[in-house]
Amino acid sequence: MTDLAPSSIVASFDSATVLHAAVMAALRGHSFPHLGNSTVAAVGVRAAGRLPWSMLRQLYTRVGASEGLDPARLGEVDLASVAAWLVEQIPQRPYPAVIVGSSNGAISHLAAALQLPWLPGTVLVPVARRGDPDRPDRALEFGHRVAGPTLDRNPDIVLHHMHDQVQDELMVAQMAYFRVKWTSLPAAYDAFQRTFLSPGAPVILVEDISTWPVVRVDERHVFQTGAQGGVSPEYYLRSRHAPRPDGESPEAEWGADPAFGSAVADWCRAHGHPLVRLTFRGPQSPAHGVATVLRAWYGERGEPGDRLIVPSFVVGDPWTTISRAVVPYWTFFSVLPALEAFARHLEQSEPYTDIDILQFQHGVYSAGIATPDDWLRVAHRHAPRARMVGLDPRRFPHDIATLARYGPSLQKLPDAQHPWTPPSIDTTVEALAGDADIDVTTDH
Amino acid sequence: MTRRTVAVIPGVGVRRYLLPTVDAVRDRGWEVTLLPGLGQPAMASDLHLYADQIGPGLARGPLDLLVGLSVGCQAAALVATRYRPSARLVLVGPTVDPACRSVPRLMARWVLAGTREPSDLLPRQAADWRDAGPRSLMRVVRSAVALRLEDMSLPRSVRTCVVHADSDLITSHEYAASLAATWGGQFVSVPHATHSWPYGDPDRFAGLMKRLLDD
Repeated sequence: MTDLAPSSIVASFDSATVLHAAVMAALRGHSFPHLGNSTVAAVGVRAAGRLPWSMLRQLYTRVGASEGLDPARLGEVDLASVAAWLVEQIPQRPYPAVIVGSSNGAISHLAAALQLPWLPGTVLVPVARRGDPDRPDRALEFGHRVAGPTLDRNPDIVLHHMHDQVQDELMVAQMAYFRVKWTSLPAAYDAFQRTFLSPGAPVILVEDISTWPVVRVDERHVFQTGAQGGVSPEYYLRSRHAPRPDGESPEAEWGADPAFGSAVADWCRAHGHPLVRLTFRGPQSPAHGVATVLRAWYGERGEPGDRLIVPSFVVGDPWTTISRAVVPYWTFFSVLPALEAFARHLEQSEPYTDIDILQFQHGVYSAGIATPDDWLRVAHRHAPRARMVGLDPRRFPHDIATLARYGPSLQKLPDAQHPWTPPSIDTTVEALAGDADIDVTTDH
Repeated sequence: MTRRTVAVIPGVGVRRYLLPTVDAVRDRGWEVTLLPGLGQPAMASDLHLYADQIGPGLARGPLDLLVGLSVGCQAAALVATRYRPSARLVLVGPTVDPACRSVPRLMARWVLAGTREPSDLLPRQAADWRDAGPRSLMRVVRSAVALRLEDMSLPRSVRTCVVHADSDLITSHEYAASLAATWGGQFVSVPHATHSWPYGDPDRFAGLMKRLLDD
């Protein structure tokens, strides 16, 4: 029996994996078009994007489904190899800090600015399974039946089986979302930090403390109906097929496992590195603070900082954003709660002259979705110029070709003017501490 | 007020193309010495010999900043190590990136990078290359490929800044950032600039030099 290759274990559309790849590109000074996929793949996506949705839907679902692992091979999933694979992608040089923990697009832009690597605490393992999206109860039974070998093989993980029949309707008909969270520091992370973290450099632990109602399936296995998005947990749980939750756990995709945080803290104590905890509730929370801090930094660089970009989920390009001195206000999904937070950011900020909005397309008119018109209406209230970038609004929410268009579109943004150096870590952390939605603590 | 002094070590076999830029910086009140390039007539083609050729003169100072450009960075690092003429070292587009550390690869990168350079650059450099001659130029390139900048230990007393023009195709961001991190120095990215920076861009060059000295 041969272990699965790490790159085939995690989903190519996983937020953690894609955001990690975007940060790695930024550490190399590279832009991040078409989610880091090849130009050939981008051409294919563009071509497919011209198909009528009825055909494209099948293609989209089939391509996504092809990533699902055979349940019979779940014993060949070695998450330690995935951690090593994530580490291997980091340019090897000494770093003045490292960021670890929750996935978050705002934090990935911060990492790009600071030129710091980020190591995720959660990754998505997609498992092939055909089923009715509206039967989360059956999905739970499936997970219970097949997850054992992965859990046995990987004693340092907790499995959060996530079933979001609202936003991932197309995908959960073809696969189960096994989101796995490390409960200790993977050996590869430990080795990386020991080798490449400069003496006395801090470890910045990102902890999204948002939780979600879950059914406990096993000691290290929970099932989550629904996910962070346009509707509340109650909305999902009203479904008569939703298993009745018996507790709360860290949210499957974004939430931080406390055991992982403790392991990072232990590592810092043992190796003499300060620990900086950035804590917030929900993936949208740090976006305002990060945008504000980076805008102030652009001002110090001598740039106007009056152009805002709104990356969406994994659609974004941290290097292009930072190097062109564009302020990023990341949104976790095109949903109403993110739109409301975006409106609050604009109300609380000095006006921007231009707003460029990106949109991840998840293919369904799901409950709580925010449309391009919604985004533009809010943006136009605060800026003279606002536009959707790389998106054909007529095809929303299934303009899949936006994945191939946003990168070239961003290359047309104006260049920054002045030479720049990454901002000071201390100053940045101090500035983030001033944000009401981010709690910052430092242990020396 | 004392004029700030800068010495610039240019790249392979060239010097004259930079004169207008240097003159423009001088017009801003700086005292700039533009050294003859590696492999130019009367100048050594080997980096070590070249460093010993220019080092003693630079060490007589005073010198606020020693700036290397491209292959000139390798020479500047050698000079900084052996003669310590200045407390500050600025390396712009340091060579040779390990990804192109062979003569054919480096030449291929250089050709590719040329497609991004200003159209008037090549004619301006060609005259110097003609004077240097192909053999001398090739010796410089071989010497550059043989010297691994990242293996050098710079004196702790020298504050180093590694500058990367963000459209540079010869030196990668990754290599420049790695050098800065290895030496505990500062990393600077220059937007919308190529490997030949600061050619034609005296304002941003003088601005960066001022910022580094004011730090």
